[in-house]
Amino acid sequence: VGVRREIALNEVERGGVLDAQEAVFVARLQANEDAAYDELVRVYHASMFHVAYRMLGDSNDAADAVQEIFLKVFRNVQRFRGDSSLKTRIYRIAFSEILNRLRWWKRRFRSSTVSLDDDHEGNGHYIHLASTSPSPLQVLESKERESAIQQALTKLSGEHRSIVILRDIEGFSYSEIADILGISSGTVKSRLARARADMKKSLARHLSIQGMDL
Amino acid sequence: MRIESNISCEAALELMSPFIDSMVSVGAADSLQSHLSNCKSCKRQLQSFISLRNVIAGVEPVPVPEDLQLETRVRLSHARLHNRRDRWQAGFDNILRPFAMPAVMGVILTLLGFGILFGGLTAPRQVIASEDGQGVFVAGIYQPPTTMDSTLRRLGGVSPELDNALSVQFELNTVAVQARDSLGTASSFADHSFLRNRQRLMTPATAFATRSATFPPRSCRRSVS
Repeated sequence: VGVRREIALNEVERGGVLDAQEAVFVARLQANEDAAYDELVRVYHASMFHVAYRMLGDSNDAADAVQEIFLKVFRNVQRFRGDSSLKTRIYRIAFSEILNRLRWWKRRFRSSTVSLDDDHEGNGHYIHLASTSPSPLQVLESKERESAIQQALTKLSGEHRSIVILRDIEGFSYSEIADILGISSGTVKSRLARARADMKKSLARHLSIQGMDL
Repeated sequence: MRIESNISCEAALELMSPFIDSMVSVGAADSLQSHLSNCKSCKRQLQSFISLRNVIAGVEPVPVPEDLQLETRVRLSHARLHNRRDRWQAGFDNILRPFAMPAVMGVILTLLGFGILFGGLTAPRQVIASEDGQGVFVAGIYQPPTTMDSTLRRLGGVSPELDNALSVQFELNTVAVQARDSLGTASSFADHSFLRNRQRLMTPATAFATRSATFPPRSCRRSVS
């Protein structure tokens, strides 16, 4: 019954119509109110940084990306007509910026990319995620799990990685993901299934050592 | 492997990802659940998908740099300020610039109009009959200006023939004055004979200069009369 109810709820199309509060906030942004932009940054900067970090894997790159994302939001807010929620719009801008950065990075540093497959000991790009200092066991396991998840995410392509992050970390629906990434819901479904299967293989190899049954 | 279900394990595997998100149709969900009730392998696979989703969803949020919010606000503020200046500049260009050229032309035309109007209303310049280069009328007979000699010199000098002709002119004028006094009609004859003589003797350039000096502008003649 629970599954059926959730399926029925998901079948209800989320119209993307702004509620009154969000419409007022968008109007304040379009009126170039200082307080509205301060609130925008305050509300969204952490989630933007989180997403950017998961996608880019580097704190400095993520911080640069966050600033660029907000500048793009400011430049695009006048064209915002309420066809989707403000959050969806911001995430669309964010993923456009982040995927552009990933493509630029791939073109520029293709030859010097370090393969994570050859570096299972954590001596690669994300070595800073694993703690080498003495610490309680749970903290160490948590950090290693974080590192393994980040490595598994990095192995995915940009498109698959963005779908996994949007769905499993940020909790967006399929239709919202389709709106953010500009693809169909069917594509979201198939890419997510493929990405999860790849993630399961990667994490099974990393996390089975710690007794996690995946 | 095929079991007592209407879908295969491969089909069940494909349905697992959308199933854990409740994004399958009711019929597909029923088929999968029926399959899972009879296939322990697929059931383990489904559990692993659910665990994976929970693990990924449970990642700790990355600590945000302390100055990120402030830096973002400052950068955004600069961009907005710059954009506001651009908008003012664009507004100025769009609104005032189209009026600039007509306004300047209007001012110029107004000044020119007033200049012409006031110039036409001013009194005509007083011409003095004895002004240099204009010549004088003595007793109704025109006397060549004293500056004629310099004018002729500038145009190529005075030929001996012209000098002779001018002497004849003087003599004729004197005679004409005397004759007018006595007869009253000799002046026109004297003028005609003088001109005929001079035009015959002079070069075209000196003839033109002499004719201009001999017949001054109408205003000059009017003011003299």
